[in-house]
Amino acid sequence: MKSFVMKHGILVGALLIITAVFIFGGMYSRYMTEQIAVRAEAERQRQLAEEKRLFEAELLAFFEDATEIQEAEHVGVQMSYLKPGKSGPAQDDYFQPTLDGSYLVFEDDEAVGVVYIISSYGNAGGLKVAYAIDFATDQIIGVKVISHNETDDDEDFPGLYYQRLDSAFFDQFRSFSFNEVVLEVDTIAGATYSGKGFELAAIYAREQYAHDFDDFEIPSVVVTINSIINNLDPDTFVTYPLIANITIGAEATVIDVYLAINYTYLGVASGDYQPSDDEQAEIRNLASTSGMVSNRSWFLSYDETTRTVVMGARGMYPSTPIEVTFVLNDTLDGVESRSVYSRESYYDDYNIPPYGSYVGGPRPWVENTIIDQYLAGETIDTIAGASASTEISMRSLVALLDRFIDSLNGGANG
Amino acid sequence: MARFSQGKAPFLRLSDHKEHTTGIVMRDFCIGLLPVILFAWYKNGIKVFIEGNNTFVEMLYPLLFIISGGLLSMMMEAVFFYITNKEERNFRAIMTKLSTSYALIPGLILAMILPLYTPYWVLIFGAFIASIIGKMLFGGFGHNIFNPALLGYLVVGFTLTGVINQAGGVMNGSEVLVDAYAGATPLGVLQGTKMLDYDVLVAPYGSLWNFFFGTIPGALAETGALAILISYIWLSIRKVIRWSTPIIYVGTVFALSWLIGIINGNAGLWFPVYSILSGGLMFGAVFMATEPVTSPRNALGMVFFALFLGALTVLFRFIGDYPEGVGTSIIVMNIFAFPIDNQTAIIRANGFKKTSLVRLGFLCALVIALMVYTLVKSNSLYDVMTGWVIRFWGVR
Repeated sequence: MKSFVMKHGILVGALLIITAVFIFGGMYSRYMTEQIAVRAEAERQRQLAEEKRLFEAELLAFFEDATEIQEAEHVGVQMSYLKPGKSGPAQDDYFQPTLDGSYLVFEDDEAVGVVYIISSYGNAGGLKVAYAIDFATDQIIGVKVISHNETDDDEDFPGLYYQRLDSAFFDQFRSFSFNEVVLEVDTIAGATYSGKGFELAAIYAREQYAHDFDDFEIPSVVVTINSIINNLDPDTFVTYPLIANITIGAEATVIDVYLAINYTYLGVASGDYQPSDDEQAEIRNLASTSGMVSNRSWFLSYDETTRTVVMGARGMYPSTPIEVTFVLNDTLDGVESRSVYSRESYYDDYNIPPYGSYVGGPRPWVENTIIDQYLAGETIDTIAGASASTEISMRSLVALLDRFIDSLNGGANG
Repeated sequence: MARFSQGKAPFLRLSDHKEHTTGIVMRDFCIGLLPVILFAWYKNGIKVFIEGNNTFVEMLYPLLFIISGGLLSMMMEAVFFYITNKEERNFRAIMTKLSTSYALIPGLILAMILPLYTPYWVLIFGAFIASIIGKMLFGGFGHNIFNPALLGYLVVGFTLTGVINQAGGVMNGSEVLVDAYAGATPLGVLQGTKMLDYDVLVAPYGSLWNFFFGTIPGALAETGALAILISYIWLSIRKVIRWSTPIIYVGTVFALSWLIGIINGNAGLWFPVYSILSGGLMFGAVFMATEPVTSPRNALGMVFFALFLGALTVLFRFIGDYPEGVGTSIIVMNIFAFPIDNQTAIIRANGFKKTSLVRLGFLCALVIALMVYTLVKSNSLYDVMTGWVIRFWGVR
């Protein structure tokens, strides 16, 4: 044995060492290589955590004096909206925003707000946006776009230009109230659909907010039109041609409001309630479809000394109204004289035989005939070829005059 | 002989001095390697560990890797001695042979110039090529034509680069996290872009000070210019290496790079400084170009040897498929070490005579031609000269 070691020991030893280096060194270098991937993964995790921390800090910064932000587990509500530029009812025309995450924001242990991360409508992959909502004011007070894929124009949706959204666009989310009835985002020209994506996300955020927090209810407009009448008061009827009696608001307040001849809200006539913008829009909307009053005739002036009342009526075209001047008699219960200024076209070639059915004289034959029949107390005839515009307007006008005279004499309408 | 004619007898060989035996030279050489080894360990292990980018076990790897290289070389030579001489197989005889043949050195140096993530089997293969093929088959220490470690390095580099890169390549745990490095060494960037732009070549790595201190991506020990400089001073003082060779070699690279910079219209000194501080130039110049066995033995020969090395290094950096040219140029010049030694010895022996001047002129012409060719191949002079020719002929 000893002689073997003396003779071959160096070979055995050297080979053993080389083998050992091969085996253990191989394991060692393999370990080194594996560690690269391990560290890369650790680094990736660290970066993700860092990104998350920065992201949450950014969200937290929307809230003044807030101290902490915590991930929350709100369950997204199911809502379906029409895609911008689509009209339905095909299923493809609708899309459903999703709640991708939510955070609660605290100020010294008291929750002061919530952040929703919402996937909304947008070109190619959609728009992902975070809205920060303040509990105190029920307003969106901050927006952060997390991702969007609108890099280029899309043939189907011209104007998908996210890039055109400027700081003015985003500034509106610094105080975007959920208490408006209709949530509207002001869009930028050429980026309408991109703006709509934000709007739908905001509408969805409000639904979610109302769902998650019982304190908040989505406001809605409650307006009922009770009646609409012409304003017969000579002092104000030019400025405020119509008066509507409405029931409005959560407490069903009854008020009178002035409307323009096109039913636009002009102001409160009497009553203790100030309609909001949304309610004003709703008033106009309801009034224009109520059919409670004709808006084809109106007062232009009344001179008490000369007893002259000038009235207007809608002509064939809105831009060419008919003007009629009446001079009332001394006792203010009849008409002394009348004159008509008309630009109607019922006597034109196309409207008289053999092309049309109008058989009366040149203008203002129709106007004069109707007024005269009214003044004479006769039944007003239907006039072929002028019934669609001139006749309706003149019937409205003489009816309004009738009520005015009635009111001057202390009538029911006065 | 001219050299001896100027001195007085008795002439003693330095190696016969009792303080300058092979063993002492070996010891001094190993001490000289120490700063560079420690730097390699610091840069690829300790520093990364301090920065929290590797484990303790990983931290030890660079040091153990280098030591393993030396150990492998020794063991392979031991086996070789065992096989080739049946008469002397005992432990003591072989250990004596190992120490006199500098058995440790090839593997040690090989490990130092390999990337950090070189698999161990590649190191074993490289050590085999270095010690057995590059050294022992030529007849052992003193008979090898090529620098053994370099031969191992080049064989590994030309055949197993993919394997090494697959395993992780040159960048250590901290360096891979620096996005600016983009996975390449400074010379790799130069090879990729061929642009002499400070912002591209130097700025991603910080400043040239980082090049000097060695905190840039590169093989284990090659980047530490400062550590190599300390080694150089030590080895020069101890007369283990000839002090002039690295100076001439590095100086030639510096001058040629500067010229290339000037021709490119970018005359900043940064480019030549960058050129000498990147890659394995410093390491090669101090530890390989000076190797006594594979380089000319007389002083004039060393000068020409170093000049050729400088020119070839720059040339290979600009024309080769690989970013670095140091290894290839040293291997190439190893082949010509003997003829250069031969011719310069004749020149020195003959003094200023017609025959020696012809030889000298021929060598000078060769060096100059190589340098001019290098400048031309650097892609810049070619364009400049084309401009001259066009202007000369009046063509616009």
